[in-house]
Amino acid sequence: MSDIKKEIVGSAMNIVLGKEVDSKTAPELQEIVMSSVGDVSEVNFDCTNLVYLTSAGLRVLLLALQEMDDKGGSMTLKNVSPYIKSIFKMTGFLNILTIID
Amino acid sequence: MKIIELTKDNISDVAVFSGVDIAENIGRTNYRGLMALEDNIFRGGLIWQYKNTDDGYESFIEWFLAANREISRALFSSYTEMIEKEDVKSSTITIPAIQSLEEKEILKDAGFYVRITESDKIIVELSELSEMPIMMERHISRRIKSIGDITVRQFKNGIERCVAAGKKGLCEDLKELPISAFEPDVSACYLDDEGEVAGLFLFHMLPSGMLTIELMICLEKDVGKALMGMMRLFVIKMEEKYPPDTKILLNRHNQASLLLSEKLLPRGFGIPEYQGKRTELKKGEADV
Repeated sequence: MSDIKKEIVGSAMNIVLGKEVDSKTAPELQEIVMSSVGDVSEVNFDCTNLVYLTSAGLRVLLLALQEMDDKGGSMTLKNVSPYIKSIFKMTGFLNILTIID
Repeated sequence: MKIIELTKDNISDVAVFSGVDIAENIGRTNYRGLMALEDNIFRGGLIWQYKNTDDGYESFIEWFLAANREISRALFSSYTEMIEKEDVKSSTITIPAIQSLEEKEILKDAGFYVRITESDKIIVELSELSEMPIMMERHISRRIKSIGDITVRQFKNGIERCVAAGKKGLCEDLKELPISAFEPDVSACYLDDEGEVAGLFLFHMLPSGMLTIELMICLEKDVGKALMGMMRLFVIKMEEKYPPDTKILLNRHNQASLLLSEKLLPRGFGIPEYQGKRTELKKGEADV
């Protein structure tokens, strides 16, 4: 059973990520995000539970960012652990993500 | 303000801004560049490469910097004049994505459709390549040699065969490049039954000290085995010569290189960048 949770509140999509976003779980996350991304102007990821993130997961984040960037929307991430932040830093994502402490 | 063309004589003025790796390409037949000066002070520049692709003759802007929109407009105006003479069908530009929207807006101003995307380029360290599963096998076929161990004639014939097969890798000017453009110890070749070069795995040492793959091709039937063999030789020779933290740039510029990279380095991810594309119209043509 998926540990990804999605909630639409007005024009915002709020997603609580599970423990791992990797090649196994990324396709499901992509499906969850892309099924509603056309209807919102804001995507917010809660990374409280996230402990493992691979390039497959980064690609989903990039897809979501592409969609929001194209339409002038916004994307944020909150409760990002130091380890996940280090992955963002290494991959250049830290330059483009809005991370809320 | 004046816009002047970059040449081997003035590129050193720009290299500190563009980086030495991009700057070294000025002087090659398919590279061009411009710089903007105000009171003889550098204010911006562009470096691009012409390539024949499946979509026609295209320009790929590999470096762009402008102090402000006025400089940017002047640079792109001169750029457009130059590429019009070359019958370029489209221009593509990539810049590292940053938080600021300024550069993205400047590119949109210049007529580019801009999108954030993942770079084709990934940088790996030698230690990561040493850990690839294919390196558990260390035997090298006697058909595979370093290019330093073959003759210039063999090398040139191999290049001719690759170009004749439409394979130039990242080097549009492959036929013009001497064997010395590639690292002799770590670049590998695959020899056919007649002892002629039928596969090449060529690496170039950038001025910054990073190695980059320029060509990865095998014309023989057993392509996979040959490529893995050449890759193995490359890693073994690299381990003999360079420290484990030596950086190697992989450009996943086509499907074959992307698939190989995904197989060998599944954790590899290109940095986010803005990619812009625009169609180049000849003077007098309307964009309908």
